[in-house]
Amino acid sequence: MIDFLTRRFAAALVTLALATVVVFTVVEVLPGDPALVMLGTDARPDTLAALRAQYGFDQPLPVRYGRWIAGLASFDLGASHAYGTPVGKLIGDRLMVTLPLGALALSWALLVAIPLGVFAAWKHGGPGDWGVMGFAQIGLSVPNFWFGIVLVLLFAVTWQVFPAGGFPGWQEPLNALHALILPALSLSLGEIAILTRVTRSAMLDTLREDYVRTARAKGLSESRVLFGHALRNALIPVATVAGLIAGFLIAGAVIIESVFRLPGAGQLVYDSINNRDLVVIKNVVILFTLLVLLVNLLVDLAYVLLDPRPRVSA
Amino acid sequence: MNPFLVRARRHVAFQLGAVLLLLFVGTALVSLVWTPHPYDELQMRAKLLPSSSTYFLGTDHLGRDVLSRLMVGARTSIAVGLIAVALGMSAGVALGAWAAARGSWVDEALSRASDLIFAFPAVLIAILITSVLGASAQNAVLAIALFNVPVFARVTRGAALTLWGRDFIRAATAMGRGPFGITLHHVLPNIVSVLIVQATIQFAVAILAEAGLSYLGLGAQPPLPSWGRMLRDAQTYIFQAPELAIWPGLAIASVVLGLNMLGDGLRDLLDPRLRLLRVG
Amino acid sequence: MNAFSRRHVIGAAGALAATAAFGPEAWAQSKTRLVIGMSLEPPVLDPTKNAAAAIREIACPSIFESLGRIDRAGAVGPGLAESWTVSADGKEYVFKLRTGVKFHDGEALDAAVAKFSLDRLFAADSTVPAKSLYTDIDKVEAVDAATIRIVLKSPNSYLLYNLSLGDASIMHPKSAATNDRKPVGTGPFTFKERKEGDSITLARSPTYRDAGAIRLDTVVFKVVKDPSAQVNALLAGDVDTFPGFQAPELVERLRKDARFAVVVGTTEGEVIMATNNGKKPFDSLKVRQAMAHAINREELIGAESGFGTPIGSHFAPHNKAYVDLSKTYPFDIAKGKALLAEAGHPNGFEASLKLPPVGYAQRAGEVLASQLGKIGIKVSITQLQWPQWLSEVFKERNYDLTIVAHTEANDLDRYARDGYYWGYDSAEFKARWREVVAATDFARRDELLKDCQRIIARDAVNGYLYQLAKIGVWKKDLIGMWENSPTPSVDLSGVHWR
Repeated sequence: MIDFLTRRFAAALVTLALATVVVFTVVEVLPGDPALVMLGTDARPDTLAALRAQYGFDQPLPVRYGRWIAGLASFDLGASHAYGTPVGKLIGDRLMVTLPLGALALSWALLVAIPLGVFAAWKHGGPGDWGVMGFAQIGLSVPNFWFGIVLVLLFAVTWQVFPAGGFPGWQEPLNALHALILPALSLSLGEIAILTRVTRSAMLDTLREDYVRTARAKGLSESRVLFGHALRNALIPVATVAGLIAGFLIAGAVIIESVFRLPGAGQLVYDSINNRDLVVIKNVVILFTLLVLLVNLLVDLAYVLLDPRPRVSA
Repeated sequence: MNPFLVRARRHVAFQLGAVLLLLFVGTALVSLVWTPHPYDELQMRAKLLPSSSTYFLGTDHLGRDVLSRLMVGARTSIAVGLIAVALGMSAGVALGAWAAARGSWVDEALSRASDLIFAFPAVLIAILITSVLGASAQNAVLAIALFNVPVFARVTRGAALTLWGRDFIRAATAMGRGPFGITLHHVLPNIVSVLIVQATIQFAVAILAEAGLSYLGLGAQPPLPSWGRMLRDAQTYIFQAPELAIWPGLAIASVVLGLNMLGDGLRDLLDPRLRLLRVG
Repeated sequence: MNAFSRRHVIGAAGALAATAAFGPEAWAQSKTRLVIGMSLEPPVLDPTKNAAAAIREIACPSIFESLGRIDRAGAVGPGLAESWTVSADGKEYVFKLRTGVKFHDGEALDAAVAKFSLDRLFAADSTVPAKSLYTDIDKVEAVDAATIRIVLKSPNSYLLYNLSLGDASIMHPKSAATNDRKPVGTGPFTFKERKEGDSITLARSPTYRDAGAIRLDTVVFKVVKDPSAQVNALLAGDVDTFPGFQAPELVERLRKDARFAVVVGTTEGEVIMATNNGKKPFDSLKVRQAMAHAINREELIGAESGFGTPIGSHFAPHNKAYVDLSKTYPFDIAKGKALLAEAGHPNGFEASLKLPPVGYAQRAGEVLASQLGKIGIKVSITQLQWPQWLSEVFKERNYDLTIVAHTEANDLDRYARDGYYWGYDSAEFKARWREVVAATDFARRDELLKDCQRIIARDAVNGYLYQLAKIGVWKKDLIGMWENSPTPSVDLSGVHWR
């Protein structure tokens, strides 16, 4: 078990190291000159050269890669070229939007998906099951950004009960929450579909187990069998999938942030790509990658702790 | 009658999916020879018109016929999705089969590489790729294909590995057949159904991805219509012509729904025990 | 205080007295907070470090001031210099600085500080984006504590104007290095805080020399990039004004709302179909003339929902040296086809149109492509990110056609530049432009400018489409906002709530 975890950890480290090389290379080959972006169309060649030297763009690639990695290792992410602000602060501010958004979306998804999944498993094969599975199928098929636009159309344009976009900041907590509801709903659509399916199939598995039959045989009420016994054990795969989704929710929110004009972390990278703010792009992308790897490791760890049978790596 | 067809006739979801998909492929094909209006004909005096007998679904902000643009958009979506999946599948199947046949370092390198691709935030990397190569339908295809490679590599590797332990393959090896020949004659023919099902699901994912990228302006370039871009343009006019934001989204959702139902149906029909990867 | 703002304050006082007489609205006088919507987010806040226009809109002249000051009519008046004299040969300028001017951190303005700021503009290792505007300066001398003398290598009739731009902001040596994040200037507002991606907040400066000119305590610049979100922000009351509203297609909706004034003014932005004159087949005058005949400005302005003025050359119609050349090559498809055939392209040709990521270019792009298609030019559109546009189109000149607005004032000089992205090289124009720069008599200069406009219109260097309109939207009880945009700045002197 320890051996398995060590191997997973080593593999994650190798992946991370490879990721830094890939990200660095991609950022380096991005067409466009950051100095030209900063100085604009009237810049003279000598001014551009002076600025490039000032930012170290003229250094050889290995030196710049080395500097970046040294910075990462010492938790120094450097300062954004565009804003002049430390990258750590920039990303911190943006996560204040993206993390609550992801958390809202995920909690909503769990709140809807688990009862739906349990219901479908309970009514296995019947019209209720068909209905829930059909809904899940639709949830997987509707692009979440279009769902967002439709929500805007209904709740912001027609009924005007939610803002169509923007974020007022957390100094107005209620308004901030209000502004995150439609984006969280749109973001959660696909997750609801996935989690409903997972809950349903996990419930179907546990309902076939002996202890569930025993519980039923003992004459326990159907709701106690479902929620007390079956669901408790079905929650393990649900939690695993929810964890995996959480890692992707944060980075994957970029299009939803774009629909609702939220100043989130995904938008930060998107804007940075458009401004060639190279320092921000590479650090944030690596941060997201690290996050996904961490979540994967945690999921592995959870598997090992909850399920002592030996596993082969996928 | 073929037992597959017999079971298919009882599988409602499969049939619905097939009908939806055929509808869209048909529309895309028809758009090659006929659309109600030329899809790129500007009529600045007929901007944002509602539905009428001349323009069934109205006109957009440049006075172009929305129905015609939706029809041509089906072409874009289907072409981008199909080519991206075909590319990703060819590379992924080859790599996965190689890893299963060769084992050792090839296998290890492949799983590190696919870990790497799965660890990246897909949307952001796709944005980066289209920024490096330039925004166009072709480059959107490449970005989407890249994320399909590890999906097919993993599925192929997993399915192939179980086969390599089977007796008929051991027998072939004993008879002196090389790994390439075995892969070609014994392994691949036996995993075709897995690949078909996975390809259907990936096709759906690719169409969603294309829509997302062109919504961000990184997919097919105007005046060639694409559903994602139509949504992006429609959002600007959401107060004046809200219905513009409905049609392209409905189109995306229905074709993806069709593919998903078809994929699930195929899985039920071909081999209910198949384990599939779902990567969004 | 200059004559203009005094007049303005008197007018405002009259308005105040009027509302006071009506009584019930008197409470509104206490409103001193203004939220200004911006379409683009400034990167840093130091105009000498980055070329972004958004920096100038926010910081100049609210935070940083220059020697001269451009007023709402586009004329140069006193800024930090209260007066100046120019030598007869146009090569020596002596500026008398205002006395008693303090920076926000308490430091005083004197000739040494002004010399420091000006020296940075043209120094050999300068990284100031607009350095090329100031390279005619030979040296700057501090004559006494309140006087500086600028000596030029050759006369430059635009020097005063250029010294009034935000690019020539006067900064203190102590704060110059940190002005990108914590700008410290002499202007009426101090920098308070910034939330990247969201807003920048300024507060009334306690050290400003003319306290009466500031009628606002807090000014928040809020970044709202998306046009429909801009409308929502206005309707929801999150934003009081968009001085430069970017979505002409949504103006109708705001006009319906009685709370807002929609004021359409002028800008210095000529929207052109920039053409690579250095590349075949665009090096042929006939081909460029053919394209000029294919342009239907009425339809293009239609795509801007009717906002914009047709132009036929690279010059703003509101300028007094303007000549209307929009009929030089009138819209005529047959003529365009004929010219194209004469140039040896009876069946047209294929061309690329590379668009920068700006609203007007996106809107005009598809329309222009279809117009050129009617004379047989098959145009394929590519959308570029701004950095790609700068590198690929502007620097490497790897393009056929693009659409862009040249928003600087007095930007005809670009036609005289060697190696500029249009690839236009005309000895005639260069000679005329040298006369413009060297002119010491402004009436004579206006005549020369008219000649310059005619030369480039005749040569059909670029496709001249229309002058961008400035669409200002603000709450009706907000007084004093500029209706035109002669320079990229949001000048808040005298702006107040009724």
